[in-house]
Amino acid sequence: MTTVLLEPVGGDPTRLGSADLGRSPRQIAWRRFRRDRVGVWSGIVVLFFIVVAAAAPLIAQLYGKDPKTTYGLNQPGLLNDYSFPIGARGGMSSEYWLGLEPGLGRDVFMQLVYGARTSLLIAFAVALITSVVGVLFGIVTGYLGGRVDAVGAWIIDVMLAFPGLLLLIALSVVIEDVFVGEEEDASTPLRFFTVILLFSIFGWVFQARLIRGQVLSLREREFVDAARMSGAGTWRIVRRELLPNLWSPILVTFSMAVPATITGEAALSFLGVGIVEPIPDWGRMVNHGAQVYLADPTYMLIPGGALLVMVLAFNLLGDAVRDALDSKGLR
Amino acid sequence: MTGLTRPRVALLLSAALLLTACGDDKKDDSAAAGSTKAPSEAGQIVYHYGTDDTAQGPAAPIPGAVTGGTVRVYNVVDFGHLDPARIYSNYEQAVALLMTRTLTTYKQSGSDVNLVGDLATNTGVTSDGGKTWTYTLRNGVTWEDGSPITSADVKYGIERTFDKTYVEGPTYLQSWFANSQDFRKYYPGPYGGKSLDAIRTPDARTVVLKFSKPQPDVPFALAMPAGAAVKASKDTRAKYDVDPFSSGPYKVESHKVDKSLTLVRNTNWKPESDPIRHAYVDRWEFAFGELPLATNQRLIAANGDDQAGMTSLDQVSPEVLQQVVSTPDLLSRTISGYTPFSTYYAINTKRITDLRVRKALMYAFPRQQVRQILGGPDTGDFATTIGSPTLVGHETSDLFQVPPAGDVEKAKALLAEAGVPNQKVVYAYGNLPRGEQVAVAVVAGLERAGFTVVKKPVNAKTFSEDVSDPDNSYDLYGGGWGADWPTGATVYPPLFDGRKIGRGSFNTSFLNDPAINKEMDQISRIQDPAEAGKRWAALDRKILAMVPVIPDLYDKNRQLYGPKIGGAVQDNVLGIISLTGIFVKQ
Repeated sequence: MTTVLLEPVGGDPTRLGSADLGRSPRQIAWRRFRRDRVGVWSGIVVLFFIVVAAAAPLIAQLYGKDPKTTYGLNQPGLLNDYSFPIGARGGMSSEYWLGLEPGLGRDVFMQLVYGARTSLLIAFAVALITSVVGVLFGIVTGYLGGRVDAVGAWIIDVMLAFPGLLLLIALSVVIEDVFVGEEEDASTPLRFFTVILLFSIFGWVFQARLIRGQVLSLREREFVDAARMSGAGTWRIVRRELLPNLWSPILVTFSMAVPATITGEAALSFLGVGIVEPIPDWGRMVNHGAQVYLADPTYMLIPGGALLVMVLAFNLLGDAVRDALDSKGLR
Repeated sequence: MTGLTRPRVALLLSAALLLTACGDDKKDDSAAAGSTKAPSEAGQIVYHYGTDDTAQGPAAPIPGAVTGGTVRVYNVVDFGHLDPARIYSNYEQAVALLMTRTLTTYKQSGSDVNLVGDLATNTGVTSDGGKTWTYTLRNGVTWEDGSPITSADVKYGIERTFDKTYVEGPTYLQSWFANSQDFRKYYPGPYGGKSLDAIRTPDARTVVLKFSKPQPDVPFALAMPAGAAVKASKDTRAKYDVDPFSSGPYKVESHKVDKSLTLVRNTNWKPESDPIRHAYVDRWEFAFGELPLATNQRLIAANGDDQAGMTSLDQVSPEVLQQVVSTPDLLSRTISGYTPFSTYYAINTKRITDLRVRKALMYAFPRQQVRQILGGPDTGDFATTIGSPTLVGHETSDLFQVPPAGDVEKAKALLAEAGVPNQKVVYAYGNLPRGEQVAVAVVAGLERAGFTVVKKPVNAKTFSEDVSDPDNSYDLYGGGWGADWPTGATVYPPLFDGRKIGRGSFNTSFLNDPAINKEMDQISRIQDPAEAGKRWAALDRKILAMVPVIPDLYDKNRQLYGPKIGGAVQDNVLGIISLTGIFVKQ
């Protein structure tokens, strides 16, 4: 990457300390981030979740269980007559670390680990797609201006007017009906595809609106004028002049889109659409937990707590990234 | 419709009438235990069924009952029908008792259930062995406008059930009159101006029904809402289904379909004319649409108006079952008991044609795991026959000795023998959370034996119709059936008569075996209930040997009500809470 000190990338020059002199903006941001304790810790937590999700099959192998087997139903003595775990705290034991799921008797720890996979896979995919689409749309409309921008702004307004969650619920059923044959299961990839697609369709506008605003102000700046007058083409201006100044808002919106999608997806499965059985999912676990919380509070607290920690960590990390980049436009 | 509270959606389609034609027929547990295997761990409560031709109004008061108050009833779905010609399911029949009087009905006290005259003075008089049945109407039976209920109204009510627009109700009377299933050819209903000659009304209080063959079960068929009177001038046809003209103690004040129903007193109903209805409550407010778990949590909390709240449909949800059963205060606020229903999983015999594969399905099916999800032993006892032990002449038998958790090795062996170790099976279920949970267990269970299982969620509202379509593309789906009255004639022909197959029918396994069809015709004509009972029991084994269904459970019912509700008992005929004796405690 280039180190273009003269260009006012992101930062506010007045806040540069003496130690920052002679460093690239990235180095400056990194230094700021490292000084932010909360940010570092939330980063570690986020990293932990990512590692756990990525290594889920490995963990399953070491742990000796899988998320599908209904242990409680297969082995007598684990669930009582009403299908609640017999042991204390939801049936926690050295055999089943976080206990058993009431009803089906699956291993909660495995459900949680594989559920993290579901959440993170969807969240990152959606954040990536919405960021790419949003950035492209924002740059095109913002930079070209005029009629293109008017139409773009109009599209954004229309998209924002859609009742997203309602359409998500309605469309997820439709999509499955269209793609799944009479005698076929809705395959796992299709279910993920459906959810990712639906969240992306409604998610990109927020990024697009933000980027468009940024581009609108950036393109009037002197360095862009200078580039244009020295004969740079549109593509070069976008790539070399605009994009470097957009990285911080992109990063920040990305880091905010991840937790937003995690909660959104959990809400969707809480409502009974989205990712369905037998794919482990935290939102569905919370939903089920809320139904049985009187008899088995542990089962609600575990996925609820995990969801809380993960979303909080992502949000704090997003905050820390924003602070480190100190992008004025986002403050 | 109880499908919304349990996974077996199609289930409670039929009415469940437990009476026997033979008054002294008494079953007891020792007899059951004496045969091959007792049907249940807990042992069934034994009810005594008979007829009582001396019953008079008013009904004997319930100790401690007081008049007045408003009861709030929360049901997950609205009553599909209130028009007596269209009612069939048990929870519709239970509410119909409040508004619609039939020629005969059931009177229950403790474990005694008797058929009694309702509009009629007795359960019917026959002089020629069941070909002609004569009924005399009671004094003082009136419509909600004060006009007397006449024999013409009774005749018109039965005539209406022939009309082609009313297809939902039972068809016993119609096919007996016509001597054929195709009874609309025999008589098209009253709307074309034709009258049914087989029903005569010599005077305003006498009804005579004439059949060409002896029909000993007529008094029982008339206890179903299809035997209700309808006043011709008040027949609003399609609208009658949401707002019927009342002959009972309550009438409809307002009915917002799928939302609410309010019943108020019918001041023209006279208690002296009615042997079974108490009518203590001033006002019934039904609300529809709340999920069973939410309703149960509402009744557990019992705040404010919910103290006098109840549900006439929802079961205690598995999520709160342990809490309800282990809390004395809550347990005392439930009714429970066996119902006439038995549940099963139907195998589509048009698609799974190999008997060995059907057997393998039966051996692999994880009944115990599924029951555990639904609430464990409280849900019912594992069934080993198609018919429920409440049937007259029921014989305990266990043809295949399938362990509740399944026998995976046996299933594998059968599949290997059939040459299809990875047989594909499409399992269809209602797309509700509970159905989804059960599906997980079913898939896991069948996959143990090597089956390749495809889960197919189906719209819960249309589930029963979809699986009754002979061209459906599913292999396995749940169902349940309760006898309309406790003879095999109201169980086996609806479920296994191959000539009835078609969308909307209950023969969802599509079994069509000419020998079986013929034998059912023969047994239906047997006059002696004990002899017929024996033959039905033998037929049960014969049908089960072909494995068109996997017997699941002998159903139990448990329903919760608010602390201010009094007089709550299970209607043992319908297998659901009875509304006729409910009162509000002061």
